[in-house]
Amino acid sequence: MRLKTLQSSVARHSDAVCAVGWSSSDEMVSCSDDHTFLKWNLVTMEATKVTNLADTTFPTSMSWFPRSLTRGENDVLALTSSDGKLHLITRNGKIEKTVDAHRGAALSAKWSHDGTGLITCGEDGAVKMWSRQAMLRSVLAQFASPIYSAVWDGSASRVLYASEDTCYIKALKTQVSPIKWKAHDGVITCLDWSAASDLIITGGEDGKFKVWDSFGRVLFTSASHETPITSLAFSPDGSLFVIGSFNLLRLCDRAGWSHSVERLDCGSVMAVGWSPDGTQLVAGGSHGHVVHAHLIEKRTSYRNLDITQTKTNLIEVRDMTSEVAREKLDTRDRITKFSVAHDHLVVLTSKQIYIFSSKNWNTPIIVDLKEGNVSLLIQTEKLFVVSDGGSLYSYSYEGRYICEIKVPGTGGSFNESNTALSNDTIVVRDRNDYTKVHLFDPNTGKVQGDGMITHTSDIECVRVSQSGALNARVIAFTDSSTSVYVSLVNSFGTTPRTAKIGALIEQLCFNDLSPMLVGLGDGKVLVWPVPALIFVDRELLQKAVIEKPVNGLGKFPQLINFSDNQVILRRSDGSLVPIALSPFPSALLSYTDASKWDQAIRLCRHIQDDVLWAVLAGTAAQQKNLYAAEIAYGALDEGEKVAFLADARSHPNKDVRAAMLVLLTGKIGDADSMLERTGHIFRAIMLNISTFRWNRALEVAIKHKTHIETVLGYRQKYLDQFGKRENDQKFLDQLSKFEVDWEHIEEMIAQEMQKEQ
Amino acid sequence: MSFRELRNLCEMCRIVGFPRPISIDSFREPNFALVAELLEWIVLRFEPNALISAKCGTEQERVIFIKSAVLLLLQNARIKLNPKKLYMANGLAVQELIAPLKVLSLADRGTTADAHSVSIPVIRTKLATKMQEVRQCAVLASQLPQTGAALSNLLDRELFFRAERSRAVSRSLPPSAAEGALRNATTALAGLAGQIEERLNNVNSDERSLDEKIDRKRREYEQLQKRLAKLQSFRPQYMDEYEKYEAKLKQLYEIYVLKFRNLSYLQLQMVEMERADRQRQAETETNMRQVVEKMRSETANHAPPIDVSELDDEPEAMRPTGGARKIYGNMIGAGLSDEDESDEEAMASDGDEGGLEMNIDRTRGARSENGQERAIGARGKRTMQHVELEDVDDEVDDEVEHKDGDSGDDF
Repeated sequence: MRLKTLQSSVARHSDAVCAVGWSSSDEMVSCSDDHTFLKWNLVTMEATKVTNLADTTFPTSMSWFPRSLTRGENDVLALTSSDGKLHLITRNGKIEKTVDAHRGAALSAKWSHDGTGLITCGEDGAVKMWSRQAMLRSVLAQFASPIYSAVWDGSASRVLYASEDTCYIKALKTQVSPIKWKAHDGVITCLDWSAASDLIITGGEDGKFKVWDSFGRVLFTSASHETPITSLAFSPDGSLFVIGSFNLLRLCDRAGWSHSVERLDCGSVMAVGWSPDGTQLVAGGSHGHVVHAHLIEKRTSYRNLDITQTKTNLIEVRDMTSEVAREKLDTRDRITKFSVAHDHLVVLTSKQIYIFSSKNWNTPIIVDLKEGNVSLLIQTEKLFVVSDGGSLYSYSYEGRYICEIKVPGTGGSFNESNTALSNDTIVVRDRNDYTKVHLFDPNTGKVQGDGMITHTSDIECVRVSQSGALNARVIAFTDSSTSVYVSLVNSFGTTPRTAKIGALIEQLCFNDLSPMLVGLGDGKVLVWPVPALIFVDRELLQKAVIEKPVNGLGKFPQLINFSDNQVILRRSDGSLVPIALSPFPSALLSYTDASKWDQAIRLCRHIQDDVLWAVLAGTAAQQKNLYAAEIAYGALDEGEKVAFLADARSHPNKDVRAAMLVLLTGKIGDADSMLERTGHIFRAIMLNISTFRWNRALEVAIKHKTHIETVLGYRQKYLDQFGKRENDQKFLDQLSKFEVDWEHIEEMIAQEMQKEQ
Repeated sequence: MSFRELRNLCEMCRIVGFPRPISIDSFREPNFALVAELLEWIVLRFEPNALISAKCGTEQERVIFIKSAVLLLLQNARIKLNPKKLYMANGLAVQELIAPLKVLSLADRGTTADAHSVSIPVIRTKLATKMQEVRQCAVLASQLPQTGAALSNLLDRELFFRAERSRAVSRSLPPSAAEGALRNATTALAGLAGQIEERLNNVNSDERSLDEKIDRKRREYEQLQKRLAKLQSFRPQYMDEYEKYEAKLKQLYEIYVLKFRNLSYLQLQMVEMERADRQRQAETETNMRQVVEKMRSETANHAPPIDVSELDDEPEAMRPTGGARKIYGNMIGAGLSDEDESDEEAMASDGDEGGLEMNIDRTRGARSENGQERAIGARGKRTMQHVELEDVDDEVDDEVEHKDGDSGDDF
């Protein structure tokens, strides 16, 4: 990926351009020390003057009101100037309001991402928060030295600012002292905090830029440039950022490594700004140049296809299996996003959607886009979903618009980590309450399965399995304490909705063909061949995990893809690392899916691996193949389970068999109620007795008026063994009514046994 | 002091290439060392030979330094700075420093590195053009007297010409004639214009007709094209049949080729077989001949008794000849009994020989007589010695010799 810059040979402004921005994805504006306010035509790089500012106004920064919230009307931008004033200016250059914000120069203004407030900072060392109408709300901080930059976090609940060489994060809603740390060796000149990826970048006069997480831990430190970093900005989707220095523009991945460096001739880059769709950027230079740049050579690959965007409206597709297969696909408008999966290439331009099939590149299906600004595009086998930040829209590969999925709440954007899609389920994290996840059906737009999953802490990354039918659909997510949980789309009212399967995992990815889940964290890759085993047998899952340590992953690895038996990672230094997994688990899963139990057992016997045996045991128990499960448990040295299964297998009654299988998964309560419901009262009572659930046993016995004696007898025995006396009132009551006679009890048990036979 | 000035100062220092980075916070507090360093650097830009040093220990040295720097800038760059403000070394000094830096940075921006390197050649070419101009001036100056003389000459002649001119002017022209002439001229011109216009019209009509023709031709061409396409795309009914037959023909032709090839191969085989046959015959013939000859040579021993018996035609003579032969044999010195046996053998083989000869006759047909003769001839030759030894009548010998010659002729 690199930037293609376009710069007019003669500077249009006569003095330094310190404030730049985008009024829409196709129009940029710039403001300079020569008091002119220009808007630019992107095709010809010609500028027209919008207005002239007052002679005393030297702009220092510009911030547009968040676009996703304006919906066209009252587009307003905040402009700070060196005379300490804060101006609110409309799109056509009319100054709506001017307030005295700071003594000395006001250096930076920034709207919060939800548009509710504005922060400014200035030479007088103050950081001030303002309302939407530029009424002063509070002074957040006061320092002796100037504050050059202050920014909001994504949820508008924290503010980051820097004084001299120290960064401060102040939480607005709670009264705690700000987090502070020394970030650079020189003055910090610029900051940015990505709403989408929750990362911080800082640039200082020591010529370095650094990437931090939101707790102030350093993730990346660049080598020193010779000149100070004068500007930087995160792209709207948080995957890239751009750094401006003297005659230099550097495009970096969010992990810090650089994609490309552009040498310009415009003096120091005083300001940079990304277009709302994240494909273009504008930079203002100290010589009065305004530089327009767009991203090209974006690249992605899928199986044997390699896809590169070579120009703004041209995509090149190469088939690696053949020397000559090379297609050039051009679109009418500027390409903003593209994605390839499941033999379909979906290209989004500023106005249309192009759907190419890999079988026929020549005739794409073209659909007009409902929303101009697409921030997210996810594909599955049968459909794909695009999002403009506000709602999600699903389309079929035939180009048919299926439905709009309305997610409750406002604010917050959908991105690839908090949204996941499969053929029949779309999983979205709640916009405001991060502990909740909503489930929808992308084919109808209605709620799917249980509708919502509520967790105890904030959910970070959500994934959903791609293979299998709806009742086998598994949702996996990580929370803020980096634990991994799984849940079923439709749990049918069973008690544990979610179950924890691992810890210290930051990223997750499901395989595209099988239910295998891969997790990345703590310098290793973990693979769960069947994460849903947790709902079958908790102990089995601990055996059915493949762990693969990977060297040199660095602090910030990314999980790119998991298809077939290959996991692709991106290390912190930007290199892609493919990791090959054993092909046997997926082969085993293909056998068990097709109910080829003999082959599956033969494979396990041949490989002799506990992981495979555990997978087999779990899937066999899940699909109620007791014979295979018995063999697999036997291979795992779990004698008691083998005996239990043999018992269950030989039992003549179907209902009891089902209940015993439920019991195998450890759900005693469910098994108990199943037995009671199907009329096997004695078994239910004995189950409760054997698990020491005395109260429940007595309750069942009293309810059906049988075997009260039996319960009392066993209870007595139990208490005698421990040398205790009965003190439960219920039992005491029953003891007064019944006599414990072991001969009678044994007789009754024998009778029951006979009845069952 | 303002933020903007500080920022611009930093930026200008970067542009003009000041050797070390300047922080934007450098002048928040008075910083004389930096001001002095900057000032020294600026002065040295304007006057590289200036004797000035930023190393100022005492107050006196600082004052002197500022004064001399301001003076040097005034002399060299006509920039007047306020030494008091400079000495304060804070934001006010920044304002002062910006003035000379601006000059430097504008110069730096206006002329790129290339401009410096090309300036000397540019000046040289300019000088050359000036020299050229001076030379031209000298040439022009030398032309000046000649031109003056020519002018005075022409002015002399002017007196004569003036008289002539006034005479010509005074001569009056009859107006009617002039009018007539003018009218003629106008009508002629109008005629000419008319002609040209007509021709132009014609051109237009020609053009139109040509256009029409082109159009027509084009239409025809298109129609023909269409017809051609139609014809090309038209598929006659018999085409299916034709193709079917074509395929059949192809198949048949392949069969024909296969058969022809087989045939020629078989013919070749036959020829080879015949040749082999002939060869074998020849070989058997030669073998036969050898065998026959051998036979002859052996039978030649008792040929004379046969001859004798033939001549005598006496059965009793058979025995005495046999006894005589025995005598011959004795004379030669071979064993009696042996002779006898060999004789009998020879007799038997003679009979065999006859059978063989019969065989040959069958195969060779017409040549059988010759063969017999030859065989006899060959036998004759071999028996010569015996014949000489024998005192049988020469007649037989002669006869044999004659036959020999005959057979030689035959071959």
